[in-house]
Amino acid sequence: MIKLKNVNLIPKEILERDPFFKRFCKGRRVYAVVLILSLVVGSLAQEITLGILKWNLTQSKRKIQEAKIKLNQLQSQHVQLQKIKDQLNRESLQT
Amino acid sequence: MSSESPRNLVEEIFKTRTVNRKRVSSLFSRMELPSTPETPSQETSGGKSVNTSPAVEVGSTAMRILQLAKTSHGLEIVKIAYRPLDPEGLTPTTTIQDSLKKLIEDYKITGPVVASLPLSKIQVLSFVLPHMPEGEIEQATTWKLKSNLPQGQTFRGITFDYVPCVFPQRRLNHKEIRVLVFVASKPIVMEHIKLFQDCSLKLIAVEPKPYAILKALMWFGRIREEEIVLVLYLGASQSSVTIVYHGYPFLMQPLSISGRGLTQVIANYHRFDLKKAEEIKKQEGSAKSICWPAISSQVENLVFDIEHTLRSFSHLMGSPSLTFHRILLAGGSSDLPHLATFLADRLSVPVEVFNPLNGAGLSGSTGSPPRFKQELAPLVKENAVSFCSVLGLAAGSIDDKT
Repeated sequence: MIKLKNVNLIPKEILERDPFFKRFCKGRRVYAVVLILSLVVGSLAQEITLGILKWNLTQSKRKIQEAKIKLNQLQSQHVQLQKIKDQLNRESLQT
Repeated sequence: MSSESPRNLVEEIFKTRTVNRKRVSSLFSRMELPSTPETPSQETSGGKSVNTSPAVEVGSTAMRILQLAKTSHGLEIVKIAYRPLDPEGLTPTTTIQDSLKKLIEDYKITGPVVASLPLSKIQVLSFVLPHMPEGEIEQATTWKLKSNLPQGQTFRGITFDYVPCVFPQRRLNHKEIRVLVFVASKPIVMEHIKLFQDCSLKLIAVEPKPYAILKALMWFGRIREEEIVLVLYLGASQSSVTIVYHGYPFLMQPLSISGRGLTQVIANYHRFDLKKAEEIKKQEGSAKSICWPAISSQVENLVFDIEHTLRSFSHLMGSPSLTFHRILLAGGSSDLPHLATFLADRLSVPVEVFNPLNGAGLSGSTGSPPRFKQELAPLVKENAVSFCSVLGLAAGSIDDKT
């Protein structure tokens, strides 16, 4: 069968008008790949850093909580000891 | 102190962002976009069929749409539509645009489309180049066109494409390449692109109408390589003649006859209104009856034009005894009653009318005729012969996709 070629009267400058990104990538494929890879690596690094910071924050919060509990315990002990001391003072004065 | 929750300033400032976003990480969020409808040029039914880009034609009397699909069973018509315009051809552009918008809305046409440009808006030039490698033809054609520009045109103001006729060397002993160049004015093509753009369609190809018809004939195997065929396109407002030599369009010329012109002469001769004249034309055609005195000069001129074209062709080929094997009639006015028999008698060659929606006409390169799941609309059936060019456009784009 005879196959005639397609004829197209749309001006070439309109047919070849690509979006900016496509035009940028055309002939700069290596740059585009490097750009995309660096974006991916950068975002991964940021995610990891944020994760580490978050973990540190949780650890610190736990430590603070523990310290607070310890402080409460010491404070209640201190109150009790103060009471005992007062009682002993009163007894010594009476004798 | 009020018990209201604190104001979210960020939300207040950016409240225009109403689309739901799903947080996927501490950095990124994914926008939940509404699902987009499927475009027609996608693979369907498990990847078994490939749809062509819809072919949309804005003619002088009607608009036509045709979309084909290549399936494992052969060709299939996906969409077909015919909408008449003002028969006088006086429809203003805004009305054309509105009609086109409505038609594409009704038939859900989206994405890239292909269209044709009438011969009246195109100039066809024929160049002879010395034999050269195919890669150099474009450069040589551009150079030749620059030195033979159509009158009143500048090279920057035109757009062109070409068909090289590279005949088999050994058999024909041709030492030259003939190039058929289609030239159109850039503003005209841009106007056409804008018409489709305003209807939210992307026009990806504009082909000359007679060439699209030729492609349809070739695609459906109606022209054999070894024969010389004269393709007569008879449209409502324009006509053309093309000589196909060894499978290539060798010569393409506009003709003065047209379907509307015939209606007008019948109306003038018998003092009928155009509607009645059109009815009589469709009933009687070129039979020796009421129409004949009115249209005889036009039809005789057509015969003269065909003979003249053949003489030009013979002269170009340097062989005075050259004859063509067949005449193929195509276009909306090609089914004029008795026209084919009249031409066959006068020119002593077989004359065939190409009906693209006839099963026999569509048994193309795929081997089996295309099917249409639904019954064709009466208006489509009535005007089946006028679907040649849209069929050529649609068939051309299926070749690109497969």
